[in-house]
Amino acid sequence: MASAPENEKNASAPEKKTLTLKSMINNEEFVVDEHVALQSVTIKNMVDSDCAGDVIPVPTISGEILALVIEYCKNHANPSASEDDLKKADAGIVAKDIYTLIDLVLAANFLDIKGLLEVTSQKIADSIKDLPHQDVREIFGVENDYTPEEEAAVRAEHDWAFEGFP
Amino acid sequence: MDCLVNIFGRVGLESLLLDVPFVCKSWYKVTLNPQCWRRLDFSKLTLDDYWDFNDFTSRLMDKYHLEGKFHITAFIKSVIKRSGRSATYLALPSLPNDCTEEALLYVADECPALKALVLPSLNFLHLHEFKIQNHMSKWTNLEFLKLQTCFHMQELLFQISIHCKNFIALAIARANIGKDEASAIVNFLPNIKVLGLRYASMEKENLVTILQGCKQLELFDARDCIGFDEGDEEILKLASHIRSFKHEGSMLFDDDYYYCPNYRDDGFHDGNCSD
Repeated sequence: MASAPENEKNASAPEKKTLTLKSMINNEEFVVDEHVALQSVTIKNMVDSDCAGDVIPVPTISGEILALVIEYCKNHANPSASEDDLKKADAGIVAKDIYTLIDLVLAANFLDIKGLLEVTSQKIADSIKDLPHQDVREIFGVENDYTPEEEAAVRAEHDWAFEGFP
Repeated sequence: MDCLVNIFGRVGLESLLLDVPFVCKSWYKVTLNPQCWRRLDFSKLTLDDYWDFNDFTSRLMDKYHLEGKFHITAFIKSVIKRSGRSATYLALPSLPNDCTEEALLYVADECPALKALVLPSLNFLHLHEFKIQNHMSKWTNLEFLKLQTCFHMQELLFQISIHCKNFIALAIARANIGKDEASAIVNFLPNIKVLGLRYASMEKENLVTILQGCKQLELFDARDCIGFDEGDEEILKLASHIRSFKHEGSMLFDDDYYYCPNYRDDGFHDGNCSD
């Protein structure tokens, strides 16, 4: 999963091509080597279909999050990085608070970067794992919208599985 | 929505059953997506002693008010059903004999996408003439199989070689690797990458057969075996192409006939240690 997608255009062009990604939230711009940015399937599709101008606008992703995404792509575009190096680098990128992680998972999903989506989702899953639902609500700032009757109905849903057996 | 499915598929069965659905209504709806239920690890579930349920089991009984009517096989089936035939990982706990067979038959029919299957002790299945090898044709995507015991190894590996084209990892605890078994591994699984044969009874010549025949091996666990010595130079030389070859604790003879290794430390699922 570490290998950068091959770009046929690069093979014939000797100089390194760059792309500029611009966060539409705070207008921050990032100049990135094309082969780094192309790990995003969304960006690759834009480039392949000639929809990408000089500056690629990235909606709904802040500069802070975009910087993390680019860091991830740079690490994984480096052909000399070992599996262990990448694991360590990934762990560093996802060592963030839950709100940053949620933004990051949405960014990975929008930009379609499979590896980043995986490590970020796992990190969030690990923070929910084995916590009572009251604590999970608190962490995610989720309101309990169940009435006691509705909650009982969800519990009861499992009953059918156990009926008719000794 | 897709992001939540991806995350919920990674929280583990306990959270997925006991906590996530109760956070709020929209999370509950997401848990109905079969893709959340692709990884089914039941290995923590035990019913060995009615009065001594482990944490997961007792929380389950408590939360869903199941006192007095908890049937472990029915429970396993109901969870598998939620995966909508999309489960890719499944580990069964130690169950009473007939339950394991019932659960396995269900898994064979309802989990065609399995990539990894981890089974408990099959002693009882043997008694019931249940032959796992007859079901391999149902799991054509299987890549990894872990068994506590194996009675029909040659036939099993033959079936794997026919039906499971992506198979790369096999782990069998306490296997008896004779000449025929070693040849079967080489002949039927020549491209195997991961082999776990801890606590095997395996003479040196048979280990050599495997090392010479399976050139793609990346991980090979041959710790605590009887039949060759840990650190044997010829073996280490033959194993030099393997990224991780473990052989600690192996010895030519079993010095202490009554010595019983602590299976709980081996990374394999705890079987019925009492038998």
